[in-house]
Amino acid sequence: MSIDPLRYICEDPLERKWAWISLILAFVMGGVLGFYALASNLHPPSNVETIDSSRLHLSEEFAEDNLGVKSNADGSLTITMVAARYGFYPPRIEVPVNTPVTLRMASADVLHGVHVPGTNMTTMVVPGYISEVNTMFTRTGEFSLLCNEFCGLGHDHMWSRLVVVENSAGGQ
Amino acid sequence: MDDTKAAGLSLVNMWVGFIAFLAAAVMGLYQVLERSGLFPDLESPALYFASVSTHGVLMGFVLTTFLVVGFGYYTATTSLKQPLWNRRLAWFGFWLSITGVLLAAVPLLSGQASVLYTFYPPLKAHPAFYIGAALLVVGSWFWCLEMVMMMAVWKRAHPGETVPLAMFGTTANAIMWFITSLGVTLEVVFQLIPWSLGLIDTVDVGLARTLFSWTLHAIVYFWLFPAYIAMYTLLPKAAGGRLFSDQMGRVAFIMLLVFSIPIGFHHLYMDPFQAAGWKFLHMIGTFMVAVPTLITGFTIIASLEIAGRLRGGKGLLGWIAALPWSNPMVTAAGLGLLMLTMGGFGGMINASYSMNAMVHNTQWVTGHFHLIFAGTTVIMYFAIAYYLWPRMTGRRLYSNTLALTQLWLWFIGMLILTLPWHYLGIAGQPRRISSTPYDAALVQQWDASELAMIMGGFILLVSAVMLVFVLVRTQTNPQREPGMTVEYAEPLHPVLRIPRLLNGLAFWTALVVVYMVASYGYPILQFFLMETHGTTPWSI
Amino acid sequence: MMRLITLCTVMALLTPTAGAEPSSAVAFDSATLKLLADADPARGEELAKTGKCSKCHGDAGISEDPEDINIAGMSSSYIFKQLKDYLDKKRDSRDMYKSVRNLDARQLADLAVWYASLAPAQPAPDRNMDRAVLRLVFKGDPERMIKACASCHGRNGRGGQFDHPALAGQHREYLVLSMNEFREGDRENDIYARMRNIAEALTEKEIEGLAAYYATVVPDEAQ
Repeated sequence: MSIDPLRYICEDPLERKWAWISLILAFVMGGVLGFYALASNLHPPSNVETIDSSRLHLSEEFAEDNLGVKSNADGSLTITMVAARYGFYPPRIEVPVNTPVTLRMASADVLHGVHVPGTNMTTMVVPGYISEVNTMFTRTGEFSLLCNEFCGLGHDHMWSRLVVVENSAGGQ
Repeated sequence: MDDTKAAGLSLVNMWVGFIAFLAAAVMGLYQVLERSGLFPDLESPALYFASVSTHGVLMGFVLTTFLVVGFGYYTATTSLKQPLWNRRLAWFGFWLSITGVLLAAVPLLSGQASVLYTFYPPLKAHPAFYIGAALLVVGSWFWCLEMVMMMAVWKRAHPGETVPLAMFGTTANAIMWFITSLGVTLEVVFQLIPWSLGLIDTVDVGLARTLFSWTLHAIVYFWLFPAYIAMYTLLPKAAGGRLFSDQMGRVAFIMLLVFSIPIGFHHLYMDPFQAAGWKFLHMIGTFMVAVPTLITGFTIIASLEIAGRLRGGKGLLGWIAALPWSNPMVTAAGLGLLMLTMGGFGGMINASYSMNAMVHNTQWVTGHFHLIFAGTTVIMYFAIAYYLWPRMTGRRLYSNTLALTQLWLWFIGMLILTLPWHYLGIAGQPRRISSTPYDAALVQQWDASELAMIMGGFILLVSAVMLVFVLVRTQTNPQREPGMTVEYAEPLHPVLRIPRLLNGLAFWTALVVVYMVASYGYPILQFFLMETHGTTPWSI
Repeated sequence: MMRLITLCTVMALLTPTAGAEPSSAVAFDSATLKLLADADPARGEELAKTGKCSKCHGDAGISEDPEDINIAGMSSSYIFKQLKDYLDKKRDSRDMYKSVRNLDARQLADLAVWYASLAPAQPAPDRNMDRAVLRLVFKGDPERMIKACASCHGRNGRGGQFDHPALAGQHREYLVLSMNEFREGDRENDIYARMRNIAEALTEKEIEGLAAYYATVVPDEAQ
């Protein structure tokens, strides 16, 4: 019988087995997530970029004429949006299906959150910081961007529309 | 040992908690009714968010702190058979905390602090709210000091002896609470109070949220510790059995102390101002903190099995029926363990790094914490109350039947309230909304669940009223029952010798500090190294 | 890590140098807020006298001509922004440009806090209670992506922070005029086209109804 290190703190053999199962469970779950994090680059939004939210419309990236969907050289798209009480701007964006997109969003005022039910697009939008989410929309249809962090008395009304279209009809 | 002197202090603390609880329960019912859409006259974002803020503060800061503190004082004096280390300081802490609550109550109730339980800037509340919150927390630190000093005094007077498990857990909780509450205290004292008073122009929202996350996870373990302490040390005798393993109880408490604080970033997974590497580190710690709960599950269920078999239960599951379900402690623990399993599963989803994206800030989260906190933790608070009230007041429990009914109603109501909430989150409903003016297709999916939840709200309010009714009638019960003492569990195997590391907390405290520096050091420091842009105050 | 710090620093340095024309040069940063906090309403009153603002806006900031805006009691930040937008020619009006072109930002702030200190006009007691209008005010229209007016302009129409103006007690004609200006693109100083999007989606009848809801005077012909 090999030496079980847990023997020193756990006398009962059945309980010791359970303790091992618990530890292994914790490591396996962490390991699976770690595997996908590294292999599929599946990370939560963590880009750590600052910006002055109080002067957002005077910035270059979040200037009014820079918002919306733009194509990048490698075929992916960048969606530049602003979260401001009480809406997401531009209020309607159209994106082709199965195309890698990078969402860049900043807040013009307070803390917001945005998620799109039916997709895995979600992030917090923190004043002073730029949020970046990389994803791909795999289903066509009409979706909603909903604000999910309390941002004031009008929070309920803060939402906008995302339309995912077939590839041939898509574009800017 | 004469413990009547702590009984008064404990009773007062716990009464404050339960009065806050009752007021908050009423608000909870208002909230479900407002959300149902059936009563247009009730619909008002200003009133709704003031209610949610007050409900959250009362349930999450007032009920909890005062209950944990009251239970702690009584546990300390009865398990150590020793008087309070310093009565004056204990009462001073109480008065400081009460002052904080009353100070914060004024802006909360007048709609000037509708910034919700998490009070994230740059939404700004009236300065009295922040000052009140700080006083509440600082008042509880006197309790922390009392617990640490009482254990130290006891150890000096009983060299080489094993610290009673109930006190070991209570002191571990006190140390954990002190360290974890430093995060929100730093945020409130150095950022929010000066900012709300106009002494500084801006606050860095990223830094504020990071500091709050320092407190935000372990605070739930601060609340949960008494539930576990009751399960380990009060439940076994109440069920008529023994504690399966005293040693594993200590291991569980130590793991909770070490792993519950430096893991706060699972509350910040979706935030852009912390790098993924740090979030990953916190994720590993978060899965580790599930281990003491899993261990506790085993130990408690094994202890119940001992009790069941001693009472004649046979077969694989026959011991379950043989348990004394007529004892409120047993019923509460059984129902609590069921809710812990469900809520714990939800918690593991929340902890899952990138997968958190599917549930973040949706109603799944609201369902999760109501199930695990309002469910498991609070039902054990009820059990503790039913157990201690007769002992603290010297009077008979008013009605065992009412107590049991109240517990079952709480359980049923909680399931009706929280299970649809989990579904609503998966179906995409955001949290912290007072109405749903979105696309009809989206809202239609949610209607049935919202209606079901009204039932849950009603049942829970009835249960809440019943609890306070039973406690009031017990307190004033003409039938006295003097001489009842707290019967702490006896372990299955007598504790002959105990490793020093399982009998003291100094080493583990030092380990937490090191772990904290490793997991929060640079993430906080970065805000001072990079150029950040703070945010000026915003009204709600 | 160094790359990150450099990137942040570079971005921070680049942000003041705006790209193409922003719709307003006003940003409510610490500097602007300090300007407003230090502004003096007494100086503002003087400026209003010498500038003869009362000719169009009335002695108490409540205008006689319903096509001229009531400015009494509006938030100082909103008034300041509009004045500055007129000065910067982000909002088109010969008259207003002529009135403010010789003033500096500090004086505009003084004027703003002076008018903000005056008692606002009150809405007429018999407001338009048309159900369709009420629905737009408090619930909006999700299908057309029209938000509830109350979400930004307040449940009692008294406005929100900075550039969410009060509407209650405003002239019906002025409100219709403004909404049509947003609709036709004649007014563009709503940052991120927040009002332009809404005005374009509303029908003329709805604009009339909403204006009547918020107005101080319901003219005889509209009843």
